[in-house]
Amino acid sequence: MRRALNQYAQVSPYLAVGFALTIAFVLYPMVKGMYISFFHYNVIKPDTSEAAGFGNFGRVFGDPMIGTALRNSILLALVTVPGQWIVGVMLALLIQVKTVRLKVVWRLVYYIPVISSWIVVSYLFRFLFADGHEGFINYLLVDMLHLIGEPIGWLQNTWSANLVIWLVSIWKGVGWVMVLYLAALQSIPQSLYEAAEIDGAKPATTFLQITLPLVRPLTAYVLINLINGAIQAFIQVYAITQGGPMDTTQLLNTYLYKQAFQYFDFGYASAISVCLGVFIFALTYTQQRSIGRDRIEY
Amino acid sequence: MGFVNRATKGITLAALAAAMLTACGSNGNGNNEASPSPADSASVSPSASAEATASASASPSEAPSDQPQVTVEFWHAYGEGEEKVLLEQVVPKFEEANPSIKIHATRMPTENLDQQVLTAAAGGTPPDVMRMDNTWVSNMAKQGALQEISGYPDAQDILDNSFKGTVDTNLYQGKYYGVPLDTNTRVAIYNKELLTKAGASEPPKTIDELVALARNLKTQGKYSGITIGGTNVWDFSAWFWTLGGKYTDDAYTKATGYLNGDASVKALDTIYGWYKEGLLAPPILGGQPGTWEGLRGDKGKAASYMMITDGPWFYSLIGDADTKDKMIPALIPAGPDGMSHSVIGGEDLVIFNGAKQPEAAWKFVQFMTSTEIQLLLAKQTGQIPTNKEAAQSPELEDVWYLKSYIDQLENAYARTPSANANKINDAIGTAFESVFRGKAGAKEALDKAAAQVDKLLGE
Repeated sequence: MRRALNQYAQVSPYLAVGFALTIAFVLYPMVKGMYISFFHYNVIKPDTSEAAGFGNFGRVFGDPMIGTALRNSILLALVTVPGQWIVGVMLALLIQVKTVRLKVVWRLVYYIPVISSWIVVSYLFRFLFADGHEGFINYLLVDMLHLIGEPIGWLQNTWSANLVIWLVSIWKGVGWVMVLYLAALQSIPQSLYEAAEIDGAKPATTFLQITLPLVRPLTAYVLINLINGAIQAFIQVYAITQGGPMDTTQLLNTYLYKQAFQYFDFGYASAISVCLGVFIFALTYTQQRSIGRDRIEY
Repeated sequence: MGFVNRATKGITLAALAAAMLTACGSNGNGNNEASPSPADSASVSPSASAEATASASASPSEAPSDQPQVTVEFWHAYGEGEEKVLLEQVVPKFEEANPSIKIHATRMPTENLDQQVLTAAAGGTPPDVMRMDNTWVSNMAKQGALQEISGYPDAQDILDNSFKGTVDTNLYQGKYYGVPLDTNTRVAIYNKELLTKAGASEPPKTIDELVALARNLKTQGKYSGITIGGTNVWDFSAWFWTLGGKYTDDAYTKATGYLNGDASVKALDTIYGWYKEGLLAPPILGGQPGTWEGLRGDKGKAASYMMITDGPWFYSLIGDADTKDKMIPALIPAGPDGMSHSVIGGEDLVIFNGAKQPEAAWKFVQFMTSTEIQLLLAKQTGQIPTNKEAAQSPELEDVWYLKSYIDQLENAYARTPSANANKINDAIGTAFESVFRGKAGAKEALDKAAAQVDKLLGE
């Protein structure tokens, strides 16, 4: 008992630092954000802010733009989570194949997007998919391959613009999935595969019956992270479309940013962020309960 | 354990968003009481001058001891050429006339500038004086970032000497929070070669003539006769107004009956008709090439737009060599009632709450709005003076392209001045865009926007 207390005394300064930082940068802003959401908040003269009651929250549920933003956020998750996962797993399997050479090079190539800056990658896609003949993709499709007659206004239409955003999100994330699965694949005992081969299992069956079940904890981890990432997405839309055309590619995050920093409507923006926080909490909490239990022993 | 982390991470999103907000908010708390208004800033200066006398007595210079050396922080977003004029001519002149004041001019990036200004003001580190886009002033005043100027010496004189349209941009709840510095408007700019190709020797005087020319040009290949830079109010208003459209009543209190009135619907339908007929250039919906590239040709591609609308910076940035006798400025062609309208832009000078040297900053404001400096800036940079005397000076005739702009200003309107100007302009722009994207009819789109604008004007 005494030793334990002693130990606590020794580490308490370190704990205190972490604790203080959490309070300053996580808890305080969180509480303050909730507080702001009940006001027509004035950032420069906070004491002149008028109380709004639940008015800001009422607006969240009455604002048709929230519907659009929520739709886009959910679609982004629905498209990019399976997209990143499937492509990432396929890449991992391909690199794992015995006949593939230069494994390190491939790993590096696919991992580069992950370590690149979001803003750089977003601008890259914005220029790739620029309108008219200036855009590289249009140039490729129209002038080089002659697949289509007229250049496509990629960023001028809701769904083509969303497609670009999905593509960049998938492209940037596959490397991360790939690296995690490469590591997991190496930890599966080779003997299992040998046994399967002797039993005459085809590669697809081996993958579905042996590989996938054995990496299930990783899959749960990866999926939760990808879903979180998708719902927290911001920079790709902010940098590529600014929510346009006509705000039809706004995500919840970009929309609340617009309310706060373009319209200076901090109360409403905070109300949206509180709702979003609750939404994400509910989502991750149920995920945690449903797929967080299993442990695998070889 | 890992999943607990996940869950907390989930909430941190909300926290992160909130962190951005609170970073601004909490710092603002202590700041606002301290902000000196012009009246009580006098109480600050004795101590400042005491300090200065102490240092002055130590130095052998002959500077008068009651004139402390102060530095005024000035933010602006002048372009490169304009900044050069400011730093090499304007500021030295001011410092020569006011040896006790130094101007520290900082050129700010235009992107997200309003956020930076707000953050600075909330954080207690605003500049003393700023050249600010005139559509921001009433909102910044509403946020409490700016000082009301009536207490400063000769404030009313500066306002009286300026054009009313530009003065009004400084209004918030009946009080002025800045003074106009420069103004601009947009006129039609024609590519002479394409104008000739369309069969005209000089710019069209009426919209009907313009449309006829555009049709001529269209038969000759992939050319566009009319370019409207987008569906936002800055690009679209000149055409909407000239064709008879209106946003609100004259007092800016009501949009219903104006924005969705018959004349407005007809104006929007007319322009949409041009679009369907293929007379409008791609920039109306953000297409390429851009307005300047289309008008002048770009990277070996020939020019394809006969006309664009833009401000005087088109000429000052490109330079005479490539514009004189090639790119002809002219009034926006007159609409059905014989009138030509355009949109007023420009910048105001404002003094911040929390300015450290408000009185020295005001001296700089007086200097910048003086006839001499307004003329100098106009001649060197093509910025149109807001000072009436300067604007009417014969010296301005030296700048060959300015005449059309000054003529156009007579019938140019401000975009709805309001603390909600941002949202109002977005609502109107979205209504226009929805028509061009085929999502709504003109009447339907404008009805919806009018209801939104009514609400925003009432707030």
